[in-house]
Amino acid sequence: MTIKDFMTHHHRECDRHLAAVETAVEAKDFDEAMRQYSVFKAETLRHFKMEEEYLFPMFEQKTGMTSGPTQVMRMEHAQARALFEKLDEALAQKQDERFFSLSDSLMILLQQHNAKEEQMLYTMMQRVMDDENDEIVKRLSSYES
Amino acid sequence: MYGLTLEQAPPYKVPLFYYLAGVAYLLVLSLLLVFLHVKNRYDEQAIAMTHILTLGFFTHVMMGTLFQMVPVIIAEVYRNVQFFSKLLFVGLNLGIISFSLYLLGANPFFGVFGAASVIVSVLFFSLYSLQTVLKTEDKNPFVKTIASALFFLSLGAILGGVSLLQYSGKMGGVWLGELHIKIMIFGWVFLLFSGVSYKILSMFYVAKEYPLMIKNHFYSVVSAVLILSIFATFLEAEFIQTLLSIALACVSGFFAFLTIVILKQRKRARTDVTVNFFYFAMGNLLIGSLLWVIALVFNLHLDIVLGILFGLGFVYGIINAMLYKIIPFLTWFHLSSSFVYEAEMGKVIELKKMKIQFYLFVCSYALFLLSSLWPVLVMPAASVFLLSSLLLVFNVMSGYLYYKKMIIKALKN
Repeated sequence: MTIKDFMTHHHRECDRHLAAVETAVEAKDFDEAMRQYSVFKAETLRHFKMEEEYLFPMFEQKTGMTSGPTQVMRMEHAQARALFEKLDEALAQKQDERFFSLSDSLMILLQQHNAKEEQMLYTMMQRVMDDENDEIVKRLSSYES
Repeated sequence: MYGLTLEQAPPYKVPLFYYLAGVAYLLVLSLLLVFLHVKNRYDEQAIAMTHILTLGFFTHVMMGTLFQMVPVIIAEVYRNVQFFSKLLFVGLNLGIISFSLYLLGANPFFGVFGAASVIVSVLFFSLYSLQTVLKTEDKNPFVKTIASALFFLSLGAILGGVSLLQYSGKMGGVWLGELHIKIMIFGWVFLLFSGVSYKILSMFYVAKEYPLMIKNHFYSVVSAVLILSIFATFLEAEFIQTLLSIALACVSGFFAFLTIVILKQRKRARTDVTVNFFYFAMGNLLIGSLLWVIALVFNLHLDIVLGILFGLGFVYGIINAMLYKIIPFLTWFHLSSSFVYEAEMGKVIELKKMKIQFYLFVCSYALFLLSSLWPVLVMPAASVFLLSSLLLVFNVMSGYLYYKKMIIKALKN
């Protein structure tokens, strides 16, 4: 498996987790929603961590590009984190309408963010770090949140 | 790597001004529908209204959406988008207004100027967008489908100009006008929406991807049928034209059916107003395609009904869905990027008002359909459509006003 495939696959997993949270909120099952949300949040934050602590610095070191794409990606991670705080509130207070408005923002934010990563950034990363592909994928697979 | 820098993304005002202009034309159209009583689709007033809908509303929203979506989806930016989008905006609007005024009774100079201005603007947009999307190294199905749609937009614009000469009596017949309509609906709008659907159904609704075979070959099948249709029209081969139209109807009906199935199996449980608009649009495309086949086989004249199904049902439905999906996100995203974290997407356009507008629109659509049997219903249909358009204008405006309000509030703090 390539780095790009691994990270792309993880994006899709996170999408499915968020969809599962929404299904539970739609059914007004807030306990199940909270359970699913914990998984979704943990997986998404783990994904950000893999990028911010491991992949981005390695990419920046190899290319010398310290501002620009990776910086924009970090900024969008910060936007997503700010949404997580509001989602925590909405779920804790069982505000389903507010939850859906926030989850919609997060979903679209993540989708356009993922599209940019998958289309350009991961492709560039793959090119630059291809020699160490297997080692990097192994490290990513065991990355802890 | 342009698409990944925030500075290169189009400013909020670029898509928003196109959307605001689009809904303003929709309001003008609604007023004309109430106050003008058109009997024949070849009437100058009917042609003016059709172009206010297609160039004024549809085209503005499509252009604004492409300015926003292309950098995000394929990570390639439009060069000097601020300057060129303004230039295009001026040219296109001068053209639409002049052309419509001419058709509504003004001096023929307006007709010549308006048509020329519209054609040049549309050709410019096509080439500008083609140059942008073809810059990407990854020529994926989305890129190929959008590129084909842009090619047909250019072709359709040129055919529109020539058919205007035919209409004004400088050439014989009306067949070029029919070809212009076919190229614009299926070559431009349908291909554009199919390309956009490949991306947004999985992105917005966590739906399954379209089958690879469809994504890889659909645009070439539609393009081939359309190109053959052009030859058949010029060769006056009526039987072949009919066969090709049946093929086109089957292909579009199949696409609509597939999209409904994919949407039905989406992972996101919630059915919001945009999902309703999507189902409505695809349902109309499916029924319209079936009815078109019946009309072709049995030689029935169902132009008005097909016009309502394809124009108001299919195209309008998708355009309205896009507005309600993109504007709240765009507003929130730009605010959030300016560190206004207090903003929330759900507060940009009120959910209840979007729902009311959807129901008003569906009601006007049903009345327009019934008016093809009972013409007395035209006025109620137009009146409800006016209400729906007024609410749509209000909803789009409220997105822009929310943005301004939050920015001013942030600056004060």
